[in-house]
Amino acid sequence: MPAPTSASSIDLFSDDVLRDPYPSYAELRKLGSCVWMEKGGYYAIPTFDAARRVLGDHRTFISGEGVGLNQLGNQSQRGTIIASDGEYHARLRAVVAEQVSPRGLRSMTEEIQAKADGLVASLAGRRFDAVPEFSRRFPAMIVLNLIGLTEDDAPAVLELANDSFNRFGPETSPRTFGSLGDPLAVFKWAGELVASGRLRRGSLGDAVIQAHRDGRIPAEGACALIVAYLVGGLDTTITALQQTARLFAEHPGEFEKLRQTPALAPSAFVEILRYAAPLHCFSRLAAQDAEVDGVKIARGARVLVLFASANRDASKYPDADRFDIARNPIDQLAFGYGVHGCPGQGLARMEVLAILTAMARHVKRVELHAARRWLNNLIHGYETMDVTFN
Amino acid sequence: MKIVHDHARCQGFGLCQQAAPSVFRLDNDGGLHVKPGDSDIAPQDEEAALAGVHACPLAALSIADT
Repeated sequence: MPAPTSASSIDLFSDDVLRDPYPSYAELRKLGSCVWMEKGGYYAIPTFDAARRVLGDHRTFISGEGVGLNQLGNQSQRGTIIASDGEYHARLRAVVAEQVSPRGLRSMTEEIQAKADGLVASLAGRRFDAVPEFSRRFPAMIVLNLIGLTEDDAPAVLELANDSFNRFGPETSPRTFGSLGDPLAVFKWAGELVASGRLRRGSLGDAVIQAHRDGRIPAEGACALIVAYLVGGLDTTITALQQTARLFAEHPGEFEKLRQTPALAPSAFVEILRYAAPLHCFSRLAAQDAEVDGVKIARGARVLVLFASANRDASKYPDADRFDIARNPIDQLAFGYGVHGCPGQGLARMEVLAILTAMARHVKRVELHAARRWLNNLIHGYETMDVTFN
Repeated sequence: MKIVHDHARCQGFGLCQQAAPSVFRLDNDGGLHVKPGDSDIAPQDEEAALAGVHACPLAALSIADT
């Protein structure tokens, strides 16, 4: 007998829930692995096993009709790397797979480590706003270099990338369409960039342009791909660094563990992402009638996979609400899973490991004096963080 | 039990090696080597093999029955 569909009236995108979603996620997990969200008109997947299965079944739960929750955003996304399926999606992934893989990034290892060490050493002993000084500065340096730009491009890029993730939200949220900026501005900027020829030879951006010249992808595809790696590579990693500072301030014992045993850095990295995933969810469309743990989902229904909730599923991670840098949850879902699994995770790992190593070397204690959250539909980070690196 | 490696999906992230170094090894170029290659996974390595397959975030590894 099929399971009755659990339902919830929680609005996952209200200010209150965005400020602290984890109690709401716990409520949803109690209701089941597939919960009908009355206010949003979609199914939420809050548990680990079901989330991984839905992400893994990319033929049933497709991305090609968009991975947000509003029609306008989903329509305009279609055909981009995040919102495409099948052969075309594989082709887009292949264009920069080499540049963004750990093998391709090998040449950047020393630069990443040196820049991380330099930045953290310069902040040690100081009180500063960790949002601009720590979290934004470092990923901007690295990602811009990777794309083939220079650090001078940072202010423009950060501005353009700023509101991108809000546009994945639901129609009902004022945040979704509320940005003052032109949503096409970032694509226009990328178009000018492509035409300018100033992307460094051999860079990821250059590889994308080459792929267009070779006829492998259309011009709009080339712009969209550059935008995808810029947008995908900034706010996410920026937020991960904010959460790193916050978690070590709130859990000094864990930071001391890292200082004593810097070899824990890889485990700390995945535990930080598990405990405080920067990007909380993406949706899929059911391309045919489907079932998740007995709950029937009709063809055409929207399904929202809650990565951050799955990461706190106690049936997967015992004592899930404990932050433990020795846990080593290597299958955590902050990077998604499956064919759409984050292609930049190798770079993110290199960046954050370099910062963790530098912090273990130069910082004795992290203090967080005050912080203000940045309320965004998908990204869970901060506007400002008054921090001391003792 | 045999490991099936989807080369197109593989990006050399190395989580398979992190989970099961007795079965998976990435070389310096990020290429994946599965021990013992084309032959069956030995019974004592099956658990490690499954852990490595499970760990791949891009689902580039799977198990084939022989």
